[in-house]
Amino acid sequence: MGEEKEIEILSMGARIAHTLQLIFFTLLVLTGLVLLSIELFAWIVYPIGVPLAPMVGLSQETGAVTVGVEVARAIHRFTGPLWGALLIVYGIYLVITRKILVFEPLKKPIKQQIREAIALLNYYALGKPLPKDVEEDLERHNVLVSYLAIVLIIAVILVGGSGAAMIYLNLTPDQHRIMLLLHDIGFYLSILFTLAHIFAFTHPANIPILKAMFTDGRVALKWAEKHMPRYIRSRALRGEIETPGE
Amino acid sequence: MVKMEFPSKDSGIAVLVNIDNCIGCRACQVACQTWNGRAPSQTSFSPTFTNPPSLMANAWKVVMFHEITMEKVISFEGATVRITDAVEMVPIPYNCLHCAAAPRARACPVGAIKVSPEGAVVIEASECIGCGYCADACPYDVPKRGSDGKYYKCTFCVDRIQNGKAPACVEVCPANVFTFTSMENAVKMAMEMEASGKKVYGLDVDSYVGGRVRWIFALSSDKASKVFPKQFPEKAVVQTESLREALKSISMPGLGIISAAVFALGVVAWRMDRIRRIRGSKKSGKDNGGNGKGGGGGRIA
Repeated sequence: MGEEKEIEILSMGARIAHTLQLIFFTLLVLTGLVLLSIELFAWIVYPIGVPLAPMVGLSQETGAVTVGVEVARAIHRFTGPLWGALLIVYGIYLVITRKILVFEPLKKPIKQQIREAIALLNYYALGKPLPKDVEEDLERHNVLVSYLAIVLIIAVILVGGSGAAMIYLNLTPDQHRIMLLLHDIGFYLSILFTLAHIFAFTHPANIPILKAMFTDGRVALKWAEKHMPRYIRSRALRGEIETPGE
Repeated sequence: MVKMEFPSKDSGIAVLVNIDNCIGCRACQVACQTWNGRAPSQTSFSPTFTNPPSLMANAWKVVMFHEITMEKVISFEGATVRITDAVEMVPIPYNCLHCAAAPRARACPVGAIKVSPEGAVVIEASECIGCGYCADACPYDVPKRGSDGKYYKCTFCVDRIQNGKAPACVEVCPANVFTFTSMENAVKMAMEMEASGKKVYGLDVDSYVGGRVRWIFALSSDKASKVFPKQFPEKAVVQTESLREALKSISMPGLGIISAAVFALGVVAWRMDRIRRIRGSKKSGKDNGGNGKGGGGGRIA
């Protein structure tokens, strides 16, 4: 195994961005859930509020949740802009370095995309093997990832735009109400994306990528040739890989 | 958005406001400010008598003066004079209407808005975090942000009513505008007024606010047709907030179900992968690793 050829599929930039995303997004989701549905998620902030409530003159019984929510709201409003700034910087980095590969599968004809999507869903949900032609035509990201990326972009625009407006703009009550609604819709979409993403990266087929994400960004070349053959072929054509597929 | 138990809209207390009796003296406004210890606020000139021009964090009750034009008939010694555009001033003593199922109480993320057994909707200032969700949810534009960042509004003088007294504004009124009574009685009186030709606001309003409010307003119909549309929203509902509530009621269980399904699919995928590996190793007589760098037996990224 030590002699096995490896290939970098996740750059340092991508790994740093993903790690920061993981931290910021988790914080935003947890604090956002509390603000959205205290009746379900008060337990998240209760332990934070218990020691803090007496410090601000409230009893632990009645003040723990209040103080906890106030802390959650402060974290939410502090983390949101940081997350937005990170997204903007990462987006610029991707555009400048021409590393946006996630939409490559969308260049395929629609019929082929649908065939690939159905085959992948059958594989992930039912464990059915992929047809040979679909398997050989897989890019760095598959077409389901491309579709999910579109959902994510819409969600980010909704939560980011409305969140920034609520923090930085002096909105009228009606404008604020609309922004809050858009924020909610964006949040629900982002949770849908997150659930699908969690399923994908914890799927046994993708464990090598998960490990690569949190180590050196490299996977075995043999594995990559099987899982993203078209991408490997294009890198080989560009001369970035010494030995293309076997 | 908090799930709350509200007293039934037919129980508790209510105030019937007979606007026709109001002389616009503002005694109620002053009594409210005094009893609740609210500091005076600097206001700006407006071309009406209404001052301050709207409810404020320190002004929980404001007499709203509406200028309307009406036709008046004056009879004197057998002669009749008809004045077509006579200016009439209609004062409406306005404060929180204390909705039967206050949407702002549902919207508060910390449960700082309490509803007393009598039906008074009260913001507990010490628990308010100043998020403004209550102001977003209120169709009557009642909660106002104070200089300390917290939101304030009429408390129905809950401290007085729970000690057997009427609200300060009710007690001080020299013109018998307010009738502080049980909801049952207030509804009965309001319906009698309606039957006598007056227009009533608050008896049958949108379900968003619980179908009824606890401050019920009655005014002669010729004036009411001009004044009520200015003072009260046509529909007592904030559409965006109503949509948020509907979306939440679908999304929360929906996301829970999807999460469970994703988890189940994940477990199945890992189980199938393990079975495949065991079968593979039995076939080849050794463990079949090497799919990736240090783990993972599937096929697709």
